[in-house]
Amino acid sequence: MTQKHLSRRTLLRGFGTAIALPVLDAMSPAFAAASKLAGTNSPTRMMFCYVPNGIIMEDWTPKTSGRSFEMLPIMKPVEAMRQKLTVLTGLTHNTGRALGDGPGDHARAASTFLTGMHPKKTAAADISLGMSVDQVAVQALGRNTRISSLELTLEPGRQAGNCDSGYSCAYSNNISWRSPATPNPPETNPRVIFERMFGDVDPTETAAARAKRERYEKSVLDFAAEDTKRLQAGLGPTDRRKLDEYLTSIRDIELRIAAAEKSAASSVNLSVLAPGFEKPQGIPVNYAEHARLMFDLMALAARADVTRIMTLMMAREGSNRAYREIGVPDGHHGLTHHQNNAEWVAKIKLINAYHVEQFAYFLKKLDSIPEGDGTLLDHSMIVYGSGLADGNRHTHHDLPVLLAGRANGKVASGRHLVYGKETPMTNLFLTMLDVMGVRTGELGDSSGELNHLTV
Amino acid sequence: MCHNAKAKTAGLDLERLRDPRAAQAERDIWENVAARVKNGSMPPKGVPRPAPESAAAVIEWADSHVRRLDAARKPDPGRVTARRLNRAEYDNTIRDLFGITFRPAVDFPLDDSGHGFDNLGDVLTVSPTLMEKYLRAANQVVRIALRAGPRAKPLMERYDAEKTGEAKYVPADPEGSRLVTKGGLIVRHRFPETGDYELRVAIRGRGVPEAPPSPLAILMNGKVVETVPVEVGQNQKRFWEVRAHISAGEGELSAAFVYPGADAHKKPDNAGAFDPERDAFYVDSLELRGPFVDAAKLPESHQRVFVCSPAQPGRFDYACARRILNNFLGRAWRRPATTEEVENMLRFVRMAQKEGDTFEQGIALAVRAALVSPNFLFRIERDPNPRDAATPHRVNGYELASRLSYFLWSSMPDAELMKLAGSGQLFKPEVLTAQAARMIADPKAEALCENFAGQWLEIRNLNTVTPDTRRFRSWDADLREAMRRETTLFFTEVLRGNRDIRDFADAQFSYLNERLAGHYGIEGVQGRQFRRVELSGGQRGGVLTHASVLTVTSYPTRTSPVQRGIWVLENFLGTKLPPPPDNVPPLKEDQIGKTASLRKQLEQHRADPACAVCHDKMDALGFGLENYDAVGAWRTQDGNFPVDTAGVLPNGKSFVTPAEMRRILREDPEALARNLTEKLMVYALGRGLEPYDRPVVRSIVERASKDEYRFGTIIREILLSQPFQMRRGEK
Repeated sequence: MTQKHLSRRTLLRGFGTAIALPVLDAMSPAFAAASKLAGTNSPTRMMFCYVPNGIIMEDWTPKTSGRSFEMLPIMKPVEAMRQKLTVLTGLTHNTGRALGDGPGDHARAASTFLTGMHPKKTAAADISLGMSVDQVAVQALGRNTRISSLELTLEPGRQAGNCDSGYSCAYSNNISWRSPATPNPPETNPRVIFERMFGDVDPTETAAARAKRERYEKSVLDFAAEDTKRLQAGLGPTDRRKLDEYLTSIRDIELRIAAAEKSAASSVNLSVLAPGFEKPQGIPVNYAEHARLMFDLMALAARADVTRIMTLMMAREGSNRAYREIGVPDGHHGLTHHQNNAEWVAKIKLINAYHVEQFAYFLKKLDSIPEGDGTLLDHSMIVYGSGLADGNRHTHHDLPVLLAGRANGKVASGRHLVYGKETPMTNLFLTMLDVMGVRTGELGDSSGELNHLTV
Repeated sequence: MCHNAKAKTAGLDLERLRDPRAAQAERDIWENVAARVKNGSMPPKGVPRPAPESAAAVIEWADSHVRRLDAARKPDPGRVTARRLNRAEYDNTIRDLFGITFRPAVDFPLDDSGHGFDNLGDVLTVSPTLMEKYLRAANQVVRIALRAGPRAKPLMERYDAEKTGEAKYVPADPEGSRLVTKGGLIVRHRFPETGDYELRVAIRGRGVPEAPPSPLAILMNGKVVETVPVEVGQNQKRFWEVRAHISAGEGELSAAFVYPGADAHKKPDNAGAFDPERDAFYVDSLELRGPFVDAAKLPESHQRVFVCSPAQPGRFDYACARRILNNFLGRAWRRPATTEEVENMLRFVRMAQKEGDTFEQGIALAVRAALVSPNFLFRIERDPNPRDAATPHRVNGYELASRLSYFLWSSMPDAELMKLAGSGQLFKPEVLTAQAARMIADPKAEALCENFAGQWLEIRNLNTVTPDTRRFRSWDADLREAMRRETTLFFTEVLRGNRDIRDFADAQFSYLNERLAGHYGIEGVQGRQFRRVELSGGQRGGVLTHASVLTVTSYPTRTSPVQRGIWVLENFLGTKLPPPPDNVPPLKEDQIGKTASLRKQLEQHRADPACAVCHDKMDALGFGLENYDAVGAWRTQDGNFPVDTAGVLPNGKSFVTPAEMRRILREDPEALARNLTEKLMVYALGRGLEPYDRPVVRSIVERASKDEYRFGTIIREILLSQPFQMRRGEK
């Protein structure tokens, strides 16, 4: 979209020369970090990229461990970045298994992926899981940036019906959970994400007008919080809990505004930061274009330090999307129950590699953006993986896991690490949290940090 | 005897239940026994059948036993958790509150659903992301609806085809017909203010000299604003400009080439040496300039809020502010505001005064605040004693009005409902019934189709299905829309016409246009308009034969008798199926239709008795629909094998053709009636049903059965039922 004021002589391409941030119009940006970009202590970013329905592991898992392993076909697209990658083999999500709950491996694969918790089997009222690793990091670090975390997806959730064998759709549509009962629903539309990151306010607004606008917004929030408390007084426990959820959301936003007020910077100059980047207009029809636009936005968010914590689902778990553009007209999920039919397996491999190809685009992008003493990729840790290994048999062990980036030199990358059978996936997350400077004794079913990963 | 203490088939020991005291707790079992014996599914085939007299005696005994237990039971209306407005309800409420078309909720996160619906209090949550969107939406609504503060400056915005993607089908009128076009463009735009806008359309392409002329239509919300002739010319940008008066809010702007009488699937006969790169017309971009506003004319949405203006123009008038806020809060919060609430809101007007802004800006700020208050965002109902679960009480008149309007309209009550709520008249059964009839006749009742039927029949999933176009060449967006339209219009007819719900199982009519009729092989329907078509020949009738339902229950490459069977059992008849066991070997997909029919494979599959329990039922229903392919077209051959639809229904009755299957379903409407009642109750109440709701369901179904199973009767009985009119506290 190109926009200009008719009354002004100059055509302001894109969104104007400087975006006056905020989303919430009041939340001005804690672009404190913008000033840090020149220094050496760049923040570490933590991201997670989820692929559904498992991966054909025979073309994924390298045959040898250590540095000189050969990359198999599915992983090939990221070969160029191998020095900044770590392949992890042997990690398990035990909590994704049935454990007496019967079918529903897809719902459990997605829900357990970042939580390491066993979801309660229910279709409705009493959803219960656990906080996901990204949100544990958000609790400790989210206030450092204007947006605490971003959740994205390339495929919206199912709109009607049940999702998987008696599990609520919430379990297969979301991987980020802020509390046991509350998922963070991911966003599909790049335009909406962009507006969330950079707002849609008038770029020509004066400082005084902006300050007044923020005072107004604060008064609206104050009122909403007061009104909620007033209402809660006469209600029963369940209704009161519902309104607590609402109150917590208000608080979360108030805290972010407070953090933003402390920061000196009040706007980010996007035309300097990412010249030529234009506001997205909607959801591209083409899957690869959609993926690239989302990755562009994630790179932009990392670069502008809008947030340091992000999750992306390449499709929802159990997705039955057809990938015609690469010659696969069949639904992905349907295909994964291939029963070793060679033609089907070959098609899944195409899909698996296609997803990795999109991810490779992201890594290249991050690696092309210099920051401090290295690139954005050097300052990130990005997990790429699935909650299922073999989609045909629904296995939850030896999961496909790739860790990209060096986390500011804390991850010794360029290797294939093989861990003992049944090593909890959550041990990886515990290690990552430690790298982020967040100490938690445990996460889900973790039993300790991973050896050999960090320097 | 299967269900004795020893055998306990299906975990059921009826012997134990002979003792009336033991049976007290087992009401539901006896209800089930009566139903199963009645419809013939028990005893199962292969077991000697009881004589009709003894079966009748069992039914009579079980029925009367259940009735006795229900009569003795203390009624419990249950309680509903405070319901957050879901996306559809939010948008509709904003529409009715201000009279603007603006759908901010398209940007909200997807609402989670439970028990098949996305309006359940327990399941709807609030996240900080959603909170952000609420704050922003309130801000945008106020800017669009009210004339307060600085005016929107005229802006120019451009949408490029390159970035938004080509639109092949441009919706062209409310009947759902579409302009078929190549190279059209559709954009959604938020018009900040009501006023004049200039639209500038740029096209490219040389055109085909031999082809008939293809005028360019420029449309706003599906209405043609202007049609301009496009001559064959050079392949370079050409521009057209029109000026139109457009209302504030969300609008759909489109430009499309009209190929008169053309069928999208046929290549033009006389296209000659057509080079799409050079010759095809396509819309390159749409530019919008505006708004150009007449400052003296206040929009209707503004006047709805500003019911008075300050005695001295330009001054702050607090008496007027009180009137405005009292009126607005009473509508936005769907109940009269208290004096304290109005006084409390005056702070925003004072704040504006202190900041040196206008009176109107102060009111606008208060309106924003009211829209992010839980009083607006949630439907909260009060109990005199929230911890008393034992004493049911009636909801108050306003709460009843909201229950009614969110059920039938997915939106706020209108002035008439609020008036009846205030006077207490709404509780009178004849008033409530008359209001329901008025509301169902209102266009707003389309929400019940969209939201209830869309989820009950799963036709919302038409948005996400992706049939393999190499196998199903007829599939495209136009057909998808036509499918949706058929089911929507059919549901509307059963609802508005107060028809027999058995029409869902089998009916002699449907709504078709040329495209869908062609898809069905029905002749004599011409043009894009949908119209009622009387059906004959037995191929079609009822929702089970709608292409929409048949498509959403299929895989991209083939039909799934299992998914269709599950759909009929669960969505249509309300049969609860246990989840499948682990480690079921899958089908040999590549052989389907080649070396073995799908039916043969599935039959082998359920040779295993553990599978057969459910698959016998599911597959029979699914195979009964095998005459319809994965996009719902009629077929008699699947791959190399003739389609075999014969089967036996759960009630033991056998059929050979889909028409016979539907007739049997139609003749035994009790399961459908009970299921539809339950689904409507979940949707109306915003909670899952509990054991204490079963007597209510039973009595509603009974009454419906005595009134030809009219849809309207079921709705009326739900409205008059205890769970709908009452609530209680919680333990």
